Amino acid sequence: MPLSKQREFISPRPDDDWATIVKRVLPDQDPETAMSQLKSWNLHLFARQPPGEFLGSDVIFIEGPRDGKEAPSFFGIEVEVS
Amino acid sequence: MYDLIICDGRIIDGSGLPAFVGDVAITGGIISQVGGRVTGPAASEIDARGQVIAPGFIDPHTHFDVQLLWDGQARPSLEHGVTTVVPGNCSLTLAPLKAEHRQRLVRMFQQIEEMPDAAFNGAFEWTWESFDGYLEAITRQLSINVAPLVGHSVIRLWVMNDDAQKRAATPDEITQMQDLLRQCLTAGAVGLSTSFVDVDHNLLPVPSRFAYLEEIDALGAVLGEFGRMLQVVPEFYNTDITIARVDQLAELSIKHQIPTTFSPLFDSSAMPDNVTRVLARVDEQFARGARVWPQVQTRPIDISFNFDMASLMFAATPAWYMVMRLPHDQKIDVLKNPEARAQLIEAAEPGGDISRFAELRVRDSQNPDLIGRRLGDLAQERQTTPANTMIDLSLEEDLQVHFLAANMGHEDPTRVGPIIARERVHVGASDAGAHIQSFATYGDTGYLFSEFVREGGYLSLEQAVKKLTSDTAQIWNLPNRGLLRPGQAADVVVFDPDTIARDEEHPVNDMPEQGMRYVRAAIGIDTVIVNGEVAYTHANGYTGSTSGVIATQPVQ
Amino acid sequence: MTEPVIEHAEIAPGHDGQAELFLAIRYENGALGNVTLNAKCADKLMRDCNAESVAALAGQPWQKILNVLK
Repeated sequence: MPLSKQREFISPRPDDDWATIVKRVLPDQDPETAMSQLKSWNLHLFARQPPGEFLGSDVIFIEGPRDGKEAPSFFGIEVEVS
Repeated sequence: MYDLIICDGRIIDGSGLPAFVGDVAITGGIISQVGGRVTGPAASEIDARGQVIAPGFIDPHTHFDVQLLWDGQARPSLEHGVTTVVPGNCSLTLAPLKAEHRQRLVRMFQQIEEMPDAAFNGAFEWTWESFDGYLEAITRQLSINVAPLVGHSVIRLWVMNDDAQKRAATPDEITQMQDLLRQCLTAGAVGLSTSFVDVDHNLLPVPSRFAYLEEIDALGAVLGEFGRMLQVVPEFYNTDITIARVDQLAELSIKHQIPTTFSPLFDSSAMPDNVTRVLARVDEQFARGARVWPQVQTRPIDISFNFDMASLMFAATPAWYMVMRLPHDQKIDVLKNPEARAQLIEAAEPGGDISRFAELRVRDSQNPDLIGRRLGDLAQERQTTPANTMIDLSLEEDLQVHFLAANMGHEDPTRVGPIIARERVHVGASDAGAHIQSFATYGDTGYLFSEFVREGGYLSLEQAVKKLTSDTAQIWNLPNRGLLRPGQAADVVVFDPDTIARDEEHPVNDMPEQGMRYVRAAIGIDTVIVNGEVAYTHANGYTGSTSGVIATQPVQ
Repeated sequence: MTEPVIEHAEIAPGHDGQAELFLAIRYENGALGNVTLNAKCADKLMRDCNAESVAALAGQPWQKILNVLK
């Protein structure tokens, strides 16, 4: 059974900061726009102490939430996958 | 000669197969016969007519690490039919721990467990630093079986000292952690716990959260040598992150051939598709050969609050929230102002509808008689409304009275029932022994039967027993437990299937130095047997038996 | 829509028994993401947005969240 496509993420490296990750995962974008996007996808890293600093175990999303397809439902209702 | 025969009960053997009527015989702490009429003399007999005879329940997510040092019965879990507990979840354990780190760890524990200082300083003697030393300390008086996890945070603390909450580990430090974990697993640890969310008393991340994947992978390799469990606490309220954690665990599970589990996974109106999406991913990963067990609790989630803070409980009601955001003294002035108060009451109880606050309870008060009482009942006694009562009580105690709103999440049985019934859902996440001053974390097993077997019919009696017994024993690799079969450890619970439930939550002062906690008594549990010895009976209470063992070892 | 905005907000129970603020965020591609704030940050956000209730947070830009969290 192949794995369905889910939101892509990376784990930080010990010397990472926001700028190094922007450079690594969004190299073709305007750095300022890319930085803003990256932060908007990772607000969870600001909603805890220390805000905005990486911890080794963090999940860092490198894309926004996914739009669209339907997930299986066992409540008998259709649900949207974000 | 048998030691004990449990006669004429409805045997549910934990396998999920249909119940049947018969006897269960026990000799030398081991089940010697199951089913049929057992003939032959026995030292004692239990009449189980009309009752279920089942394997003892196993609770895979507890924080009894400290309590076990002065209460080997893990009260009140044992009286709910729980015969084996897994302490040491969420990366925190009391060993291995250097003496100089003790008070630091105590503060981390207090953040999670809400236990008073006296529980750590005075209630027992710290006689150990090593994991086997801790096991020796608790096994002197165990009534209940223990399958202890070892905490990633304490392993990190041992090796890295202050740097454990600062930086990545060096390769040499990772090797030291591996050696330490190996020692713990050899001593009897059931696995390693780590956390991606927990914080210490300064609200800083616990040490395990500073670990990079290389470190977790290296520790996973050691778990693979023993085939032992990795338990994690993932971030709450973010489905995408939970799915990412499932994927990380799946990689570790496949690479190192280990079982993994994450807890808790819960249902919420805020994220109605959360469980569906996460379980779909779990199914995909199981199909790849990974073992990633989501733990789902049976009980709903409660919220506690007081008037001193601007609790979000009022954030949906502007009139109340505006007042709650005021400075302390100004807030009191407004609450005492008849006009302002009338507006608050109208906003909370429009047209005299008192339903909004009637079910709230007093969680904590200087007046012990108030603790646990419904605002609706107190309002009747005071001949006023629940909202007025809440304001009055708060003013009487300088805004320090805490209230509890029950069933605020994971509360819809028509959604939670089908989740719990799923094959790849591990019933657990009780958190027994933690959050003791906020809510009762005991009796989730009884609630499974009352709410989801009897009331909702989402599981059969046999399926529910299987979830709590053989499923858990197999997921956690607990040898010779979880089934009523000859040769298995004689962990048995005798209960009334028509009444088994959890009782009302109530406060007790049974922690060291009369510390308070919330508990629930059991309903419908007749007898609890641990390794062949009766540990609890409804008629006579706890027996003081000391037959509990470290449950990771095969039964002799 | 050129930037993510708060779609809706609601109170959710945290695992430790405290009320938290769940914010659903609509992204540029139409998909929903979310973040959960503790009471202190939530209160700050509501003040920053001049929101009298959580419902009034809908439509606020995502930077408002970032600003209170930083």
